[in-house]
Amino acid sequence: MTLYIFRRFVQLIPVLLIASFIVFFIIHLIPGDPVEIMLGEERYDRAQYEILRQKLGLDEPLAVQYVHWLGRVAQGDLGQSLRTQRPVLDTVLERFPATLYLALAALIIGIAIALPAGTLAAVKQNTVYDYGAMGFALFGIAVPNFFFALLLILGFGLYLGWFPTLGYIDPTANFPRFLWHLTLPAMVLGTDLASTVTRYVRAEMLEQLRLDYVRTARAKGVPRRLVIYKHTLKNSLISATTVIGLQVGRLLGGSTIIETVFAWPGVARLVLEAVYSRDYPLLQGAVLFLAFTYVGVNLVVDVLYKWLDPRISFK
Amino acid sequence: MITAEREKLPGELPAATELGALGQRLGASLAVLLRNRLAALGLFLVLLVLLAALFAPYLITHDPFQMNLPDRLKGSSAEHLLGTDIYGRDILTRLILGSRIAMRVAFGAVLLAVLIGVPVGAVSAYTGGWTDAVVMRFVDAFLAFPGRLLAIALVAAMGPSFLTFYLAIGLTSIPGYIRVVRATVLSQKEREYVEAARMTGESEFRILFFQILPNCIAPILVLVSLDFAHAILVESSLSFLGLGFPPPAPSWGLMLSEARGYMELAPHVAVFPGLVISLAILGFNLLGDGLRDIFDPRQYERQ
Repeated sequence: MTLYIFRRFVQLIPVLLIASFIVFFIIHLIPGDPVEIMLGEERYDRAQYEILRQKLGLDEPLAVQYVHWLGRVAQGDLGQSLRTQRPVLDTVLERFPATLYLALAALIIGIAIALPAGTLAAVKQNTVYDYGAMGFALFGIAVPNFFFALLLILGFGLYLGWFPTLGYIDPTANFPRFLWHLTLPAMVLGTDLASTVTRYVRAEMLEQLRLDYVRTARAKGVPRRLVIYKHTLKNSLISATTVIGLQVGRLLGGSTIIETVFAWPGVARLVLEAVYSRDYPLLQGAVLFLAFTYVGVNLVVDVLYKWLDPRISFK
Repeated sequence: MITAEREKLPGELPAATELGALGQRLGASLAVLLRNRLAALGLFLVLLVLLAALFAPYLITHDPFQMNLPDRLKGSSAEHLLGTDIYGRDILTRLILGSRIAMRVAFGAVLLAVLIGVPVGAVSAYTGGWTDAVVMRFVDAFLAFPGRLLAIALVAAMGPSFLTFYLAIGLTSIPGYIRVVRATVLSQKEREYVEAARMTGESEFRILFFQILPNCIAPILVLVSLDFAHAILVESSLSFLGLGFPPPAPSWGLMLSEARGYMELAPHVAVFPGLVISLAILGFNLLGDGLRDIFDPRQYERQ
């Protein structure tokens, strides 16, 4: 097991290198002179230009720039924001809790919907329950998050007025109000997650229900209900873990839209703010942070998966 | 409409030439597709979007860009079937024109992914060894990187253009094609017909691309359909965030975003673009699932 974790870490190196290279390269994709663009339309003097250019290391050859940048990143130095002059890492870490809370809430809602729905759909295959669950899954896949979010805002926010449609409250300051604000964004992301996982749980349960051990258990006289809950559900959960894990990675890395629509001050929204204000060091730092989080979560999921099911051997 | 197409099928059957045989097989596949009601619905929606994009200039009834403020936020009427948007422009006209943006982005992105992914996957699997190992490492690394984030970063840096969208969406789709083609080629390359082709002196290039690769068409088609849905989603998401084509482009995501501030007053201005995006994504997803059912009978039986 230790060896496996070690090997997974080694495999991570090329992934992180490629990810960091992509992020590093972003700044060089800007058409024209990035320094000029960052300084904006307003007039600037030559000295100011040179200072920024040197600060960004743009006066050096590309390869040298990358190595230097990588060296700094490895030491946790993601540079300074152009707008606020604060270290990028501090800003990102400050924003991370909001993203984390939203991801966790969405995860809880998603699992709470997907497990019963997927199980029910499989156990009562080709009944109203099954079609209902599959219809729900299709809905989740077809309707984009931003549209679903707007519908919820329209229904629960504007018409019914049950939930606030914008903003974030610090949970340490006022926990019930925090939950209240969390509800709508978490519902959107939770439903999205549930639609994917429901399909998966259903397929996995159907697969398990056809296996010999189920027939054996039934033949021995174990009630169907017991077989389902004690045997097949457990076995289905093992592989569902992977799918759920991938979704967690996605939740932590890509809820830009939801964080924007609900004015939720997380890291993904920070990425967008950096884009709008052309704060490229902040953009690079935030994207790199999210990418590393995504990769890290996927690693944890893989390890967890192996721990749950020791039969799986990876070459 | 669906039943009419199904009844036409027997008429296509008597055809003996090779081309006829292919047509017959396609016809049979189409029949299976149409028997699956969800897949038929998918095909219908996909055709609707494609036809709208293709014939947009003949279908639109209003000037898509001409503002007409006195008529803003009007509901459905004979003059404006789906009402007017925040600047008094005809929503239906803009939705039809928007299909062109969505389809052009999707076509370009998917084409890019296919043109790179398919040959790389095929050669990687066929030659094996070091090449394959390196390619697969790259694929793993690429899959480990969150695609949506890459798209945002690319668009942010390069600015909105069709090329940016092709790259932002297409690049993240490449690994899918590499994996699918690789798996199929690996399963085929030891078959007897490959051996036979080699005996007759066909070049390795011809064997790979003319003998083996046609077997990958089915899984590639499935992926193409699903990736179209993905491309529509990403394009509309980016446009919704204001990272796509600037106004007054009739991009579906942008239309939805423009209507956001007026939701209480005139919900239809936001709901129609959202509905169209959802139906387009649904269509390509259902079609992709349906195609998979045809090509993967094992899974088909299960359902």
